[in-house]
Amino acid sequence: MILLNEVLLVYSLIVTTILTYMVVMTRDLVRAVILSACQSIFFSIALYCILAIDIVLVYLPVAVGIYSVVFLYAIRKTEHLEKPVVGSHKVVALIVAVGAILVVALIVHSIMSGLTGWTPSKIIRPLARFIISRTINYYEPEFWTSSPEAITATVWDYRGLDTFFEITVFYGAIVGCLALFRFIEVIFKEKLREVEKLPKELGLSLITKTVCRVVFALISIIAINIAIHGHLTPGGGFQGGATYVIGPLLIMVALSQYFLRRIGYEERKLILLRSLGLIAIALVALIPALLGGFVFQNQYKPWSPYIGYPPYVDNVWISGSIFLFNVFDAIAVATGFCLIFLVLSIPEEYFKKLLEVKP
Amino acid sequence: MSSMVLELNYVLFFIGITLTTIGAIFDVIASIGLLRFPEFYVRLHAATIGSIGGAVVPIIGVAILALSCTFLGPQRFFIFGCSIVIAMIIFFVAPVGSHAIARAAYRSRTVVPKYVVHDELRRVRG
Repeated sequence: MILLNEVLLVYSLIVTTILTYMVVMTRDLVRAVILSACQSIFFSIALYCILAIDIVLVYLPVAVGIYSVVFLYAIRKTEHLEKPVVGSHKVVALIVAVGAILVVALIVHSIMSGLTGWTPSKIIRPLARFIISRTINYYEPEFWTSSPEAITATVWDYRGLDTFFEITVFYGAIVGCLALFRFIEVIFKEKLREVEKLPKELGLSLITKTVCRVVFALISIIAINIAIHGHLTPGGGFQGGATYVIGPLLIMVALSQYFLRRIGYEERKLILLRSLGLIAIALVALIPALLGGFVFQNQYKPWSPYIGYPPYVDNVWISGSIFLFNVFDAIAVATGFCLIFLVLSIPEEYFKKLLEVKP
Repeated sequence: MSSMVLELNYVLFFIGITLTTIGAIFDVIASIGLLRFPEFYVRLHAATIGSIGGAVVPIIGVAILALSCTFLGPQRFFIFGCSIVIAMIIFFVAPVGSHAIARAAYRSRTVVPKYVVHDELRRVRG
């Protein structure tokens, strides 16, 4: 029954394209949201067909549920018509009907063949065996990554390009968030000056503040540890960066965001650091390509003239480029999350003033 | 010499096991208290028992237990250090968490204290 799967894949991709076109062309905002949700449903069917079930489980609630609700809530505040609507109900109805029939067929087929449908488990298994037996294998140095942590080795060496795209999506999201709040500093600076004049201490009680200061240091140390040890123990750059952000978040809750700004967490600095981290990641990935190897090359390969990053420096095991990737990724992720939390912690009245919406 | 080290390991093993068991008992007591106590502040007391007696004590027990397990090699010192650090962090953080909860509950007046014998805060703040 592989044929049904492929038919459904092609069909859902075509429908996704058509629906995207209709979303762009429609004049009614509410209908655009509904069409966009339909498009997401078909796209998740396509993802299901290529057996990316974990992505479907995330994609469906986010793209169909949360996005639509947020957009509909935003539209409720404005007018939802641009111009008189041109009807194309029949096309949508036909597309949805055919899609529903195919989905029902696929579900029936899945249930009849043991709920999972077609699984390629036996085809994929040798890949896992390959990765586990070769990440740190001295006897086959043409395939090794010199990192004993198979997951980090996979993430930053065997499929480094994939990880780079994931990171790019993450930074795209941060850039989008910052674009929403782009002139907030101008309005918010007045408030910051007012707060600095206030003699009163902001935040929770003295006990909470004192302990939060200590815990902030501890969390920072643990986060740096996770990021720097990413090539040896479970963890890595993203995990380290995400752990680090708990510290500033704690300070924000216990001591107020103005304190955080006063000790140097400012938007411009964070943006600079984040960009530097991203540029460093790109440079580490591109240097082998400039010296004759291939992009994201880590160790020496017989078919590539580049000599590779050193697996250890002065008896300290660094696993070549994986250590550098982890460190720069940690910097970029930590500053990116800090930026988001700083921007989101600005009181509502200020960005409502910015967007010129009546409170 | 080696027999003395072996006996010391036995002692450490039993101390570790005892502390872990005490922690388990504290956890049971705390959960019963959390279910059976009548009021917010008293329940908070039970929750604190769970976090100090039921988390810090058994983690220190695990640290001592790891120290006695010679088959782990030098890794046992690593486990010992990590456990002690985790225990210290919980020891610092858990009381602050319950303090913040109690303070927020008192100041926002969402909880009406029923079984209060003497309320100094109200007398001071008016």
